[in-house]
Amino acid sequence: MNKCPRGVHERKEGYSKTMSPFEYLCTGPSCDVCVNECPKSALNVVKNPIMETLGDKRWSPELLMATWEQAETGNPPVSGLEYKVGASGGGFDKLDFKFRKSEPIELGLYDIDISVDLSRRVESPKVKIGVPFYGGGMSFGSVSLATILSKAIASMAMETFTCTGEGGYPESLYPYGDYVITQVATGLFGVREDTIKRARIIELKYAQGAKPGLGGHLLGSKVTEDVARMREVMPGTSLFSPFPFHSVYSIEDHKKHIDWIKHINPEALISVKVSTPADVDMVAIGSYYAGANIIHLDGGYGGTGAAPEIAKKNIAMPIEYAIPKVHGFLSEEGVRNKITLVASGGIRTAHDIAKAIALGADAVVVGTAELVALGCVRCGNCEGGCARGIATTDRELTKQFDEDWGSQRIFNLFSAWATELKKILWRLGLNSVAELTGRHDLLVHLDYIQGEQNEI
Amino acid sequence: MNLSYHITTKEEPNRLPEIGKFKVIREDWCINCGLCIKECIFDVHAREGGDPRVMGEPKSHLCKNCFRCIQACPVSALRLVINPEFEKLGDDYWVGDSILWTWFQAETGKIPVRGAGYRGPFSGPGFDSMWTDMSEIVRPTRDGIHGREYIHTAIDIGRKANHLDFDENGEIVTEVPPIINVPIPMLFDTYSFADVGENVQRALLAAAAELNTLAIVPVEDYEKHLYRYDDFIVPRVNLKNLSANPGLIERAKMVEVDYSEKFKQIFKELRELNPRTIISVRLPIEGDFEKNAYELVLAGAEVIHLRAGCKASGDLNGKKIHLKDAIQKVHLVFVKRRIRDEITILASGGIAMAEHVPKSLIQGADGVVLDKVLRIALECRACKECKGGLICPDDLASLDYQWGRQRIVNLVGAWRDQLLEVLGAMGLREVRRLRGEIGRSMNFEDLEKETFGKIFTESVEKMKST
Repeated sequence: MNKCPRGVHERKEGYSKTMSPFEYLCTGPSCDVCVNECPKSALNVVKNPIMETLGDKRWSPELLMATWEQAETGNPPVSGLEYKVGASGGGFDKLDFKFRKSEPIELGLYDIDISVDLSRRVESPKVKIGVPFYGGGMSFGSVSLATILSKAIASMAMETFTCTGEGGYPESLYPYGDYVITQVATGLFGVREDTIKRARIIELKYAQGAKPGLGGHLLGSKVTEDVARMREVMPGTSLFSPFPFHSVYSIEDHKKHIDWIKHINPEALISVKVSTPADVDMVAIGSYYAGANIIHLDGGYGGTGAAPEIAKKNIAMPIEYAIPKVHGFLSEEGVRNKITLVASGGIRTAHDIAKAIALGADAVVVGTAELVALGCVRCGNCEGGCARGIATTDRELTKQFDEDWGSQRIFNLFSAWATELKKILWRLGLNSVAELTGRHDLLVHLDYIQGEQNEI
Repeated sequence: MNLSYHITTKEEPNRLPEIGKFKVIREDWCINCGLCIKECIFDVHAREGGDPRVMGEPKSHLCKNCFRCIQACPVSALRLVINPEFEKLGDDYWVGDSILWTWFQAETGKIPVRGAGYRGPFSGPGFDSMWTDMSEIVRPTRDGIHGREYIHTAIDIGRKANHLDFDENGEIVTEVPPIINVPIPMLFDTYSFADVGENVQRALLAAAAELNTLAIVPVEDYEKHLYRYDDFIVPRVNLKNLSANPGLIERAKMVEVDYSEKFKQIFKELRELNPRTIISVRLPIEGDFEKNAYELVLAGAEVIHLRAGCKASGDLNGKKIHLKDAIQKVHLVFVKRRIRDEITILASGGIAMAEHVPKSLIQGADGVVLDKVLRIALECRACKECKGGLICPDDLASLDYQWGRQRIVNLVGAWRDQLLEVLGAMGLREVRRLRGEIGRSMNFEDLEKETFGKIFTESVEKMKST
């Protein structure tokens, strides 16, 4: 009890027996103080067998636990858990950095600039985010109000953004309005002149990576009184967001949409969220000429509240391929410096963020990681009643946490990421995250260096 | 044209106790406080078994892996493990997860939908090395699922005339060969059912009849009482059993012939029995199968049914070849010979998930033939006991054929809906247009070459030179 540096073992005062060990505090078999000290050899440290039932290839059990640790402590993990990559065997999980061998002493770790300017056109209003990531759209209805508020408060604290998703703009978000993106999606649920005027960034959502080419679907059971009021529909009815925008069948139609938004709110940046088809580069350049400020690519492995399994796995390409494809094409066309490239869809860690940027993005959007910070275990039952009280509007289930706790958790995770990102940049010898964009030369792919490991 | 083709699905519950992926274990130091009842929103925990003071055995098949009871238990008496029964399901190709989803689809007729993002590996061999395309902004999509647009899933089987000749009066003089219009690009194969009894066979034929598709039946398995399904039966023959069931071949719209080197002789005998029947050849993917396919077509075969092993692999002179690559090879041979539009290519073996249907079509098949997966719809666990002559632990033979029919209809209904999703996302309104549309897919090797290949091969070379 006295030997353990982490307080795993405890005996409450007045009791003769010890508590059962606080296993989550244990750092694992590398520390075996208690095992060695026990006079009766009654202790044993093994891998928690429950890990077999936790997580999956993309979010490995260690990655989930490491994310929880960051959300709890606000620092990069110290427990020795794998927190950089998952176990999917490809994409981000096969990429690594070529760090400098010597420490760049000339650089101060805390002076490194990780803010990103989202406006690239001369005439566009200035919008800057303090960290190279912002929160993805999750609608009121698909997630609870506490979840939305937690995201918004944490975003405000990090000087970045969160997004309404397609479920209207709850009044309780008004105080954080400067850090909220209004999403205009195909169902136009909850979109009003007021909500468009309120935002500094308007996101036109054409498609979602997890279900590209398919519409959205909110089950009737999730459409409570409050949700229905916000979306201006009848409670209890299933809501479909069609695909695509039935008024957009060309770049010209697309421009008309952007002009319409700009007419209502000339002060806002326009972000265009698209999925990753084979011709994603054409979509990106088209969006630029239609007047978009931000092109937001959502890769096939992104999160969702509900999507057909066949779509999540099979339709559209992973973001890891789409970023260099679009970055390269926009550069060749000479417009790369006039549009901001934002990537999402399977970005889980600070290392994923840095890799996405090195592949060619300016910033990224995260979603699932925020929910993991709130205690999501990725059980996938988002549409059947979220047991963790996140992706639900049920009165009982949502009592599990409030925005005070939730915002602190997300803020902690974001802070840990910010620290980690600065460390990555520092080890690469870079002054700012802007210098990392498109630096393919700083990346290695584990499949391409076999046999040549020594040379790198 | 099947203008309003629709598959009517109906909930058809499992016969056997459900197998869940997870197992909740209650240790004997449980203090029966009942906190877990309150925590669980899926009703896994309850006081059951006559004594209200004691907690019942957890109903693990209801568990959704949320860990709430585990975390809440004040004495750590609950554990969660992967269900050992689940681990015994299937094998490395027919994996447990996909078997559970197949059961779900056969039970409900619904497509698998879940929250949270994709959870599998980045890519994989075979079908997993392909992604299908979608359209946005510059190319419109179609909405087949919510019924705003009708997407055709029908295919034509048989030889199609390359062109039509007219006489001086404008009358067609070409003899138009017979074709069969099947409303879904999925046919059935009964070979894998032969050993599980008559009820299973009948369930499958009844489902084929209801769906208006075709089922390939070995000619010696055909019994007289099956005559009502004659329109949907494709007798499968070889040189030896050609006359095993007199009359059957004469009536058949289509006959499937096992490939052998004496194919010309079989064709001749078949034509004598039934000059109008469509001849399909069941061609295993081995050796010079592409060359054989072309020769078969020259000799008069109208359908090439490419058959891989049950794990979708064929044997290319000692090297493994995946079904999807084999399809493409044959497809391209026919394209090169300018006969592709005249011939039908069917593919089978290892079609285990809904996504394998559009992917096979993209590679160049006209349709697929379902086999083992139909059996799984009937709650087979793919345990292979029957292969060793042992008794089926699930006693498939005893099932009610009407139950089995509905299970298969449900599965195919769910698969067709998923095909519609994929077609809709691509912006196609015709499954026939998907055939060989490689541009509507992205494959791992190409994407890798275009992006990472460019980035990392260059950087490796640069490093070598410095």
